[in-house]
Amino acid sequence: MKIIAMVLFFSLAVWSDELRLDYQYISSSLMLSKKVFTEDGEMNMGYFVTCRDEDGDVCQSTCGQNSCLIARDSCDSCVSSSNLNIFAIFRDFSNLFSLRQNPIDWGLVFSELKSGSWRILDENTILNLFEDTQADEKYSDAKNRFMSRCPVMTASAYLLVNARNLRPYIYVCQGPYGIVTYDTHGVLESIP
Amino acid sequence: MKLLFSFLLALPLSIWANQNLYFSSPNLCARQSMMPAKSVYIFIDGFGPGRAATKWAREAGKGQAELVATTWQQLHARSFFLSKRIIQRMLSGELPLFTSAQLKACGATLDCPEFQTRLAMYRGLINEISSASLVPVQCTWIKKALPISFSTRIPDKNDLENLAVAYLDKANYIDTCEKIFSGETQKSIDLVLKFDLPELSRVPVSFEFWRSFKIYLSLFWGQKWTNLALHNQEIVRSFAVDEIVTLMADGCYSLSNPSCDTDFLNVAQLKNTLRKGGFQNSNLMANEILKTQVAGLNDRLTPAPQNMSAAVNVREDMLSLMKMRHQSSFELYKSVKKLNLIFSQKSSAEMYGNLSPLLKASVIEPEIYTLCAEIGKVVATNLSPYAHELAISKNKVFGLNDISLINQNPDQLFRQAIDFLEMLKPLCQKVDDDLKQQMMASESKILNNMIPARQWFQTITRYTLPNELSSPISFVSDKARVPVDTSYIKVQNEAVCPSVVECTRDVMESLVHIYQVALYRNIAMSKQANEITPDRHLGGDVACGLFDPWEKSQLRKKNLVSDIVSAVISGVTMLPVFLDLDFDTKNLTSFQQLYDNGQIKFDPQYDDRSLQTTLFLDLGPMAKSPCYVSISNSSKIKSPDTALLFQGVTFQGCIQNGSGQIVSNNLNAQTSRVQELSACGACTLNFETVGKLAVQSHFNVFRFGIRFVAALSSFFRDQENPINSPMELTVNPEYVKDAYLKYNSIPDKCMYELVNGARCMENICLSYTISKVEEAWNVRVKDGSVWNSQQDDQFLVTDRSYSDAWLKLDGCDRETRIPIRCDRGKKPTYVKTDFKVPTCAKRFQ
Repeated sequence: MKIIAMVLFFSLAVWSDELRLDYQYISSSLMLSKKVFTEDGEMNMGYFVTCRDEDGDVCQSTCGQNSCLIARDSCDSCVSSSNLNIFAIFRDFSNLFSLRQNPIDWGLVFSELKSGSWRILDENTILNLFEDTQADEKYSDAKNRFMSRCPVMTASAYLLVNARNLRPYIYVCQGPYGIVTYDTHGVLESIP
Repeated sequence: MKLLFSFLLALPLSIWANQNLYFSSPNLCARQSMMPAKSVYIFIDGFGPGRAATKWAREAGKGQAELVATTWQQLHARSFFLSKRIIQRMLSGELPLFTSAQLKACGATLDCPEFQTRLAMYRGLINEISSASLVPVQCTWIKKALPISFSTRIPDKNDLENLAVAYLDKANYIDTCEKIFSGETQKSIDLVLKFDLPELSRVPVSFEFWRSFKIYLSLFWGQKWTNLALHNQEIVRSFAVDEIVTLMADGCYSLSNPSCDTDFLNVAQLKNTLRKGGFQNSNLMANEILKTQVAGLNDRLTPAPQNMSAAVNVREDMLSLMKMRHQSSFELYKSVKKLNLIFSQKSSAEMYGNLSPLLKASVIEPEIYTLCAEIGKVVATNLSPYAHELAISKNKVFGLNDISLINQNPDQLFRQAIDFLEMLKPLCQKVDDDLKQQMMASESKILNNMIPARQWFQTITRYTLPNELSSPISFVSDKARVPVDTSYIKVQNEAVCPSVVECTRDVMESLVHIYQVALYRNIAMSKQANEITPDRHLGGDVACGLFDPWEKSQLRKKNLVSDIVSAVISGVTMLPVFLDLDFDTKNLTSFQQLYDNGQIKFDPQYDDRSLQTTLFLDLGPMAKSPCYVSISNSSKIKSPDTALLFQGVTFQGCIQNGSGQIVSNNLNAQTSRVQELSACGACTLNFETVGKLAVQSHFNVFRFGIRFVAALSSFFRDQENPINSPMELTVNPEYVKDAYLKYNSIPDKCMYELVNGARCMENICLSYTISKVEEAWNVRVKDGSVWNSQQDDQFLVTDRSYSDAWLKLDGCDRETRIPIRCDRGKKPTYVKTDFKVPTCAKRFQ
């Protein structure tokens, strides 16, 4: 039944502006989410991974259970005086980074997140940083721009970045189709 | 004699602590500015954390107000607790200062072994609840400041009346910092705390002390603490503390060793601009800068009265600073990206090869004229002061290399752009010659077909950032939009620039913007980024020699001013204008008048008529503004290098060389008309008038020119202004309150005594005697009278001196006799207090 549904789903033309969704790169074994949690009596916000019961190896190895916190939402990536890469993500993501669909080793990703080497951002984290200082930029426009490279019907997008300099590594789109990941490659870096 | 005094910011605390208020003369203030502060204000800006909390609440479906209030409370508690504990542990010597070697090893990062080792070693000290070794450090929550706190006027009766009212209502002005823990500050987006360090401590307070304090605060900020007073919400902990906490030294003292650098030269005008809250309006900003800069030193000591509280001012500063940081960061990002896009696809040699035929063509296209004009402004040091400024900076931008920015080094790109433009300079010389010939031709129509220069060309030395945030980002300007396929440079599916000419102009524009941003960042993100300098602060002035409280020698001042000239001279429209003056006394005239009298001379190698036209086009309404001739007779001019520019007006110091030529070192322009030599001079505009005119006419100013004008203005005024002795006035708020209650206002007759730390009495001898006794004995005097017992115990209504004061001390029924020596109408020369205090007298607590 599930397989039939998947086939039906992908028989629809699922396109983004640039990227054709290739089902071979789609994973449906896990799901990312962002939610509130309490720790030491403090309200906090974080990114969670949840695995499907029948395919939960990643979660078991990462969390020892079916779902767990993989990263906290914090202001480490707030606009700061010294890190301007946030602008590249915010304004020029589609210009400066080419994407290539590529399955990733989620276990490795989660271990990088847990070690603090990588950071995960969602569209809210990125876009809200610019509110109030860029009144001309409509929130919805900016959000659409950030998510425009995902397939249609995408519900949420994430970016896995270098924790120190915010250089994007992996672009993650998630929707009813599952989860699809793209390697990001700096356009300028490819020019000799 | 008009004395100007600077107010110290100690006012609210002094009210609380029943201490005197001190007013320093500029001279004393200047001396104090070179000393480390023992009192510091800490401003905590809750805007960023509040915004983050709002975001969280929205995502989590929680109440925004509640979460924001919790966040602010935690922010305030963390700021207060950590600051106080760090200061205490440092003063006791338990937290050692960082050494220069450690600071050098770590550079700009906190994530280095030296710092992290300290963090691990001393983390426990902060957490310790034991207060056995804690040095007493007083913290005051500043709720509201009096307007005079920010004033530098000599206090008038209104100020003292306000002071009295505030003193009677002090709970609305200050409170204890501990109130933070009970949540009283949680609805305040801003918080202002004042820490007063003890006079004596095991570790003396120094500039190194404050530097180490800031590092410790940053290191400890993100830690999780088990102390009940602190919470560990991620938003607060993860915020970069230096982005939300600002320090300001109390009074005239300093937190960092004042130095004569770009930071100082810009910080005053930056602050004033920020205060206006109109940062995004570049015209407004330029005008505000003008107003600030033309004010000069003395006017900086007398800003317009402000009626806002300390918190409001700082709040606006902080918000504007945040906007400014954001704008400058974005501008830097955009410019670096543009240079990178261009140079990563086309080498300089390749672009040069593509441009050469266009610049060498027999018929020059209008866009090439404009291109070369723009190139000249960046690299032709003989024509453009901006190019001169770049050359002085060795074509480098500083302070940008610690920025993480798409793997690019702004300095390298900047240098690459300059080198490329230098390659084009010889080719442009030919284009300029061609243009000159065409303009001489009577039938020339070239001006009708000119392509306008880009905005930066006109505004290059405005003290502003290019204000482009409001326009949607685009790689290509609308005018130049061409199909992607035919673009000279493109990225992905977008055109970067359509032609080699446009790409070259883009290179220049980006280069200029990077330079402008670098100047901003030097102010906003430097070592003093989280320090605010009060308006009256004179540390930079002293360091730069603009105000020298110790040395008054003409030579030293000349040299210092010369240093400033070589460091910051700039301008745009460099016209070879001489002022031919024969005044040997100061005179007020106008530029127009000078021109009409034939006293404005132009370098003969230039075309006189066109220069005249240009000059007046440039001057506009300022041509008629008063000209204050401050240097005149050539024989008196010793320094040849005091030249500066102000939107086309050249202020020229000249010198007569051995062969009888007037030499201007700046322009290398000469004239051999001997008959004019005797009257070579300089004219400085009347800056206040110019400032007003400039504001009215939206006349944009040149940053460095103006800065230099201010410097010179200060320099000359300094000679005339008798403020050069260290003076300190004292006001006891208790006395002010008493006078206010007694008279229901502050009478004029009380002013002299009150601003000299004395009680307002009918008799000055008596009021000073009371002050002395109260201070020496720590008692309160209710009333008294003065007599001369050496002249038959007669009441000396008409005599000129007193020998005794009879004082009624609080708690005593009988009066106490105090021997004094005092001439009527003057302060006592002697008050005997070295005997036993009457036992009936109540002591102050």
